[in-house]
Amino acid sequence: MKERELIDIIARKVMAALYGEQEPRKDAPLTDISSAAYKANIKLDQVENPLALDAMRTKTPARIGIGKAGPRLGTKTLLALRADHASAKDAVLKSVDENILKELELFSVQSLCGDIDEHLTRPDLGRRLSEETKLRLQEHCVYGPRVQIYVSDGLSSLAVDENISDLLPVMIDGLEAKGIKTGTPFFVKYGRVPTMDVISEILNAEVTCVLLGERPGLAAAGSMSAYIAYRAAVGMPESRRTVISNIHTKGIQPVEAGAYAVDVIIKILEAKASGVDFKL
Amino acid sequence: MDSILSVGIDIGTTTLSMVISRLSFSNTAVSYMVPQVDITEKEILYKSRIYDTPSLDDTHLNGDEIKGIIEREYRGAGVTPDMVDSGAVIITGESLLKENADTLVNQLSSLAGEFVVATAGPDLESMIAGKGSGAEAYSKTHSRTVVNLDIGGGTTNIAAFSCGELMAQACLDIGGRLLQYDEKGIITYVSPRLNDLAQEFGFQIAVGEMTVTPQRLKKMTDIMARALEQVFWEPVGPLAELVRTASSKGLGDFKVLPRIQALSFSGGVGDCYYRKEENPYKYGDLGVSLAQSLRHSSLTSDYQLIEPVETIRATVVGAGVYATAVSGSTIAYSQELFPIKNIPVLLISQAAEQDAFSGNHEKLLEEAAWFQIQTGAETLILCMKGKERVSYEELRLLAEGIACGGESLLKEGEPLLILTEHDMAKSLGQAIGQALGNGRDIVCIDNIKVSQGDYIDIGKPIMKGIALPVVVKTLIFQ
Repeated sequence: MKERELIDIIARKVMAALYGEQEPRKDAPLTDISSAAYKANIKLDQVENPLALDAMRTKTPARIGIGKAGPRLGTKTLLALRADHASAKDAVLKSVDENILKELELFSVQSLCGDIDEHLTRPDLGRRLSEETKLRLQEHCVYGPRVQIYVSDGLSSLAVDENISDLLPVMIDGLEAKGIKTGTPFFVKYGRVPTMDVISEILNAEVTCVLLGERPGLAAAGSMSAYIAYRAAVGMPESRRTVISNIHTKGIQPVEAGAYAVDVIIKILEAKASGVDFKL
Repeated sequence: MDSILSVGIDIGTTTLSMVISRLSFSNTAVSYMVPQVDITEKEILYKSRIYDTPSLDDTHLNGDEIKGIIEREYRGAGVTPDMVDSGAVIITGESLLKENADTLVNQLSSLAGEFVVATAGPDLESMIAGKGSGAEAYSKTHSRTVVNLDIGGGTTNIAAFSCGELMAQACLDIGGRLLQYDEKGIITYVSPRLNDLAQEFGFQIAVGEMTVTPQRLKKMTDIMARALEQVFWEPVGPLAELVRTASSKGLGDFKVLPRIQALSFSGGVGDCYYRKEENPYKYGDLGVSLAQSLRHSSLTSDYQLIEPVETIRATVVGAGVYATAVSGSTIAYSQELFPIKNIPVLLISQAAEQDAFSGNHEKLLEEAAWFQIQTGAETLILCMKGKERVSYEELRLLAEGIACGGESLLKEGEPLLILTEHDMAKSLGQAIGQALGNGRDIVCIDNIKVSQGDYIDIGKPIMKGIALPVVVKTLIFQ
């Protein structure tokens, strides 16, 4: 066999493995290798009990029952994994969509980090605010609110883009309906969780809640958490924070999480405690 | 962890029994997630003996004697009605056809405890017996498709489960007591349904005219076994269709099942099946002979047979242990509301739901008004699928529609009851509260599946009010 023919056969085999039996037409749209449909197709063949495997696969986004190629990952698995890794990196490196902030009328401030690289390498700077920023917050925000809610990118700007338009209004309206006035919401770029301690002190909030993007994993790049603390103060132990996590498309619906957060905040106000001191 | 006592009472064609069980709830979500309350332990504390169902005559159950039995059994179990927090009375098989079935089941449910619910209906019984027999649990732990046939005195209740999910349910008028005879073998009772089957083979059975022999019994029960085999034919065989219980929704669902991997028999006949009872005359009916016919049928040879955890008590255990479910988080209610009983389900159409999400709630109002006229119900629970991902805007529009419908259809002081299949009750309840703005009680629950024609009972809040015990049921009397 000529080398050319051999290459042809191998190429056809690879294409068949990737796209099924049919070879894609040149002008056909490319398969989205990060889509759920593509991943649903990555499956062990000749399964003893396909029913059981399907039931297990619906219960977790983890890559189970995917088969392998010798000791290595199958080609499709490898591609999907690379695609998910790429979206995780994108979620960290991108900036929050300005239009979303504008729609929600959130003004922006920034931590001491100057750029994304500094944000990733200097968590200590991400926790702090400059004197000008503090002044700006004091000028623009209600002082001494019962509840101060604000938004921060943390390690996933995508989480803010995907969840905040639903999450934030549910919380503000929900608390208002219970007669609890919330402070002026805003956005902190390059923020870390403990930035909320500084903010709590500057604005003298009884309860502070930050809605923050979480470090992306390979299953969800846009996951958001709500960290809530009663009388948060700089230097306080981490154990004083109450957290509601996994707020994203495939986790807890943002509206549902928002309604739950309202309940939690009300109970924290009643208990005058948060974190491990607070029992739901 | 919270726990409640739950009672199950089964009034069947032939037998009557009761169980008391303890259901324990706990929050199965990790602390940083939204709580998820589940029933995490089910323990049977007491099983009554099996009584013959007392009746006054052919058309009436003996209510006083039944109540007496239950009161006696409560004392025997060391339980008083006020200790019982949940459970179900189920009336099944031919007992359901009795004229006083409806009144009796309601009387019993209030006698048994504040939140013991009345239930009736062939398909519901199939599901309950399937769960009580252990077939559901087996299908879940082994990830297989399992069918349970609960064969009692008057009916056979069939339920299929795949990986723990109910896939199909149906009921046939096939049971051990369709024919009864005295010690001399003289026939004393023949169910018309049995003669429907006999007709197909060109014979009829009449009371008093014929004495039974093992061969004659076998001839009849072989036909009955064949009717049961035909449930799993594709399409469903004519004998199975012939003896389908009138109020059972049909057998069509069984043909779309994944391959059936295991089968189990419960009920009195199921008990004879596994005990390998030999004496066909033992109970003066067809039960033993039917069990024998089943052992020689294709149901035994073509499928893997498993022995259920419960046979004769499958239904009562199902009613006591499996009837109660637990809802997701709830909102805005006053304690005095509960228990809420016998609320008819209004399942909103997909089209009306889609419209309501985009702010047009005309269809939703129409369907609710029509439902009220149709059923004459003063209360109802508005049930919908909901969405996996809903925006705040959609939520608000839907909430406005529901609030508007609630105001126009409900009397003042009546609570607004809403149920969604997807996880969205908390936010929806909150949004409805804002849309209403008048302090009307709202009960909004999720994570519960219902069908049109179902009824719902809701018990007192558990786990510091974060969840509610819920029973989804039917109330189908003749």
